[in-house]
Amino acid sequence: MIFPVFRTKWWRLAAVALGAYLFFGHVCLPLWIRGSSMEPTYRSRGLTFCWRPSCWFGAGLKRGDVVAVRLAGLRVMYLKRIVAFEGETVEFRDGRLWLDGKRLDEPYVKYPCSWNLEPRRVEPGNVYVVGDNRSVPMENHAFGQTNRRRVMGRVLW
Amino acid sequence: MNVSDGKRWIWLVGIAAVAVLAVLWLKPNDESRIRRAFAAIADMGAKSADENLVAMALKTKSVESFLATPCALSVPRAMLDGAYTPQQLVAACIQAKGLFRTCALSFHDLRIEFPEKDTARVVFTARLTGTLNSGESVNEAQEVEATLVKDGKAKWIFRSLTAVETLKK
Repeated sequence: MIFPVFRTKWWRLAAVALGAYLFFGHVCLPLWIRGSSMEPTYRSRGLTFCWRPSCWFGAGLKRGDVVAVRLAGLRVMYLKRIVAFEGETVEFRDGRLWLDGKRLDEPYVKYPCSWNLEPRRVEPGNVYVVGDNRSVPMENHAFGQTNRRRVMGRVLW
Repeated sequence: MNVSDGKRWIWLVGIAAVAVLAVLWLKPNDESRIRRAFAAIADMGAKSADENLVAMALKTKSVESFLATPCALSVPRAMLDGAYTPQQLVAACIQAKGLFRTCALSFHDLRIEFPEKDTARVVFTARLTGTLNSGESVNEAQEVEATLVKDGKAKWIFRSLTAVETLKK
């Protein structure tokens, strides 16, 4: 069964355009990757999608999830991996990530890293995100804790 | 009035409504002036491979007219914190652009509010992409909060720029 108004092709076309706008503008955001901070998992100039329902209705995020973190809006976002949640203590020792004094196994980090960062606790309401490519100097890599409300969703693949 | 007259009236009213909306939409207002200021700065901030030093410096100097005296800056990543004159900021821009072979500056997701008369608060994402003289690629994004005020010629100029800390190490 189809609503009478959608029997004409122009109305059907308008409905498809509206549906695509809502779906790709608010539910499943296309992400054109620029930059190398998530290499080798995500290469620059690749494409993925941010699935926003993964953050709706208090849906849970897991350690290791790759998420899109918004800046002022949705046009430009960071693509990062969640490594810690509120209350946990994060530290880098000779390029290895330590959580609450225990070393975290990170099979997705393929490049050599020599970062050292003093222990710091993730504040309430925040998550700690880092890119997979830690071969660049720590000062040149955008990572750290951010408010959970800035996390727009997990990536689809 | 017959059916064809009725249809004609509907068309006329529809066209008139679209015309009124188009005029209202295209009419310059403070928000569109601010957006144009950002677009102009993005253009002045770009550098092409064939641009010589003098042309680059002259183009960058045009940014001066968009800055209040003094302009407060708080951008820890660029080691800028304090009140600067437009001339000081332009000199810093020219010095920074000298490090690039090519660069492009763009502004996204502008959220413009007018907390009081002749004052605007704009939150936006600034993106800098390019290639350094060493061949290294640069791709930086930063959320920024800016305050703009209207000068004597009703032009919007930047009074302050503060980098928003999205990720805190």
